[in-house]
Amino acid sequence: MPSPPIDDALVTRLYKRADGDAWRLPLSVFADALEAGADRVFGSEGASAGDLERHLASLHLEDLALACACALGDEAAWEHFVREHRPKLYRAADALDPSGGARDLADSLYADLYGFPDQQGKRKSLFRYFHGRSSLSTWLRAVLAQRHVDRLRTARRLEPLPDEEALSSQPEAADASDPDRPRFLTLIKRALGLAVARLDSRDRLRLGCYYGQEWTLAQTGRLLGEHEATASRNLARTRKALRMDVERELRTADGLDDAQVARCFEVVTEDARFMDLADVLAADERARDAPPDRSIRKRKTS
Amino acid sequence: MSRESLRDQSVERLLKESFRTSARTSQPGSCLDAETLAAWIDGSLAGGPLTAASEHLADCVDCQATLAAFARTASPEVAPEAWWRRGLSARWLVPMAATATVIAIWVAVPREDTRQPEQTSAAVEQVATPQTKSTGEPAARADRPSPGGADERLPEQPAPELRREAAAKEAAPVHENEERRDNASLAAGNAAPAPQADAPDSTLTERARFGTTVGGVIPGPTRIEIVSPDASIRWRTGPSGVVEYSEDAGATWEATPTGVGTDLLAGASPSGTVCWVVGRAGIVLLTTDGRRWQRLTFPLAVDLTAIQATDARTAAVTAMDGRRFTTVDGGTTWK
Repeated sequence: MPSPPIDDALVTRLYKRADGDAWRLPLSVFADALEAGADRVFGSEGASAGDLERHLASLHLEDLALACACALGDEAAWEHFVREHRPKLYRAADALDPSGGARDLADSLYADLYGFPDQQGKRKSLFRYFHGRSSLSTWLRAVLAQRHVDRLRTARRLEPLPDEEALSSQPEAADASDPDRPRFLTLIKRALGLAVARLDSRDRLRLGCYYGQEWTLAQTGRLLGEHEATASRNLARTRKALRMDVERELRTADGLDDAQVARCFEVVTEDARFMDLADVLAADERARDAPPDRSIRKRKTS
Repeated sequence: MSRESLRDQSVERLLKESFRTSARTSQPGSCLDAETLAAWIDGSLAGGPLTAASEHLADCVDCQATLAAFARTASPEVAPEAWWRRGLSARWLVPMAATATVIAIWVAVPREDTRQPEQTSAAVEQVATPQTKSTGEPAARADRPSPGGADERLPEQPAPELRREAAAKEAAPVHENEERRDNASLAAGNAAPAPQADAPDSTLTERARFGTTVGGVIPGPTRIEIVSPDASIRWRTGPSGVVEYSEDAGATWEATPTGVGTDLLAGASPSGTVCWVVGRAGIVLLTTDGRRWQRLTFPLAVDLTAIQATDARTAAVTAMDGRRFTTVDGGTTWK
């Protein structure tokens, strides 16, 4: 079911709210941008008239009008954009790389926003991907962030894998003292994977930010609108829920008894790959601080 | 150590390992486009698109890395620190406050119609604020890992791949301290069962009633709820220019575009249709129908941290540095 067309009166009302006259933006161009944005959100499934109106009312219309006018090459709009947004773009680039390494990203983004003529001589601006669903400022920063991450990722593909990664990708060594160890490790990892998949998206995002992206609690909390202490409590709650889910999974799906379940958890704590770096360093420090082993020295001197 | 806590430790180790591994092996797929990501950050998504974006973000390490990079760009709207505040320390604040108090008494006692220059009234305002500033500001900054981080909602730290690049540039001791603090609070979370009452979060939402002011001297990640005299009509603000509107006492919220991407720090509503909101870099917004926001011209790009309003024409705003500005013509002119 396609979305109903946006009626002219509504377009005119939205155009006034967007102050499209300030940039001498043709109403038809603005209407096309609204349609394109709605198509992008609702796709081929379409939307009811109510959903469509709510969507349109939630748009950042002034930013959309400015973007449309810039894409058309309106000089006043472009000047306004340069004055308002270019410094922010540069500041954002400098924040990404204080040595100035991201400035070229900002420059190339700026050039893409200005647009280049295509084969038919029509100017194609990056602004065509902006539909007013966010503020222009946030969108620009998001585009810049994406390009920055893409560049880092491309650079990383060219780098050799660090030792740590090579180590973790090695097959698990068989342990002669406990032949069941690899199996237990596989079972608990699978059970944890299933348990994580059953969490709701907010809990998964919290885990991803904290463990995957290695954000601090304060940072993770800020992203999710939680206080640092709340983020900590929520992580603790999630870990507890995961542990119980893993235990249940190991018992019911894998048919392990209590001792085997306990062994599954033990193999994790025994495995060096799961050692926390902080624990390792602390152990090293303890070893350094410990009194020297005189028995060895005696043996050497004897 | 109890059996549960040992097992929790195992779960934590597995989580670290599995999330780090997935960060390495994840293939870029159908990631969120920049606008959807920006709309998610702005809080502009709702319903199905919001669910879909949240589900994707929960599992996509690439998008999480972009979020981390985005967070690092979060300082564009910070107004430069006023020249006279640089180097201002407690040893100056005390005599300044005392002097200002004396001036205030001298000004207030004779007659109300004595004309005072504007600078004097600014000094009088500072009498009320130095203590708040001197105690609150460092505390708030201590929580921030990077001094330039202004967007309170998002972290300033980069994703692992970004971290490597940034490691040489960022101050290690700060990071270490923060990690230690994290570990400590994590340990606390392990030791005690999670209480149902979410006490710290209650401080995140401040409420303003009617024409009174909300927002603090220190801008933060605070989500501010502004309640109109008709208690069912409310607004709430968030970072990056987000304002939402509710007609059912906060049961449901509707995003209202403001056209600004700046953190909004305070608001006041003198009637069910009128609401004023102020924010960083001299942002003043006014709605007279509840939903449509008009950005008013403000003479300075200072962070505005409080506002009082009596109607759609008369309001007084307080800047971060304690200065106070009033308008009686709906924001056309400010004194």
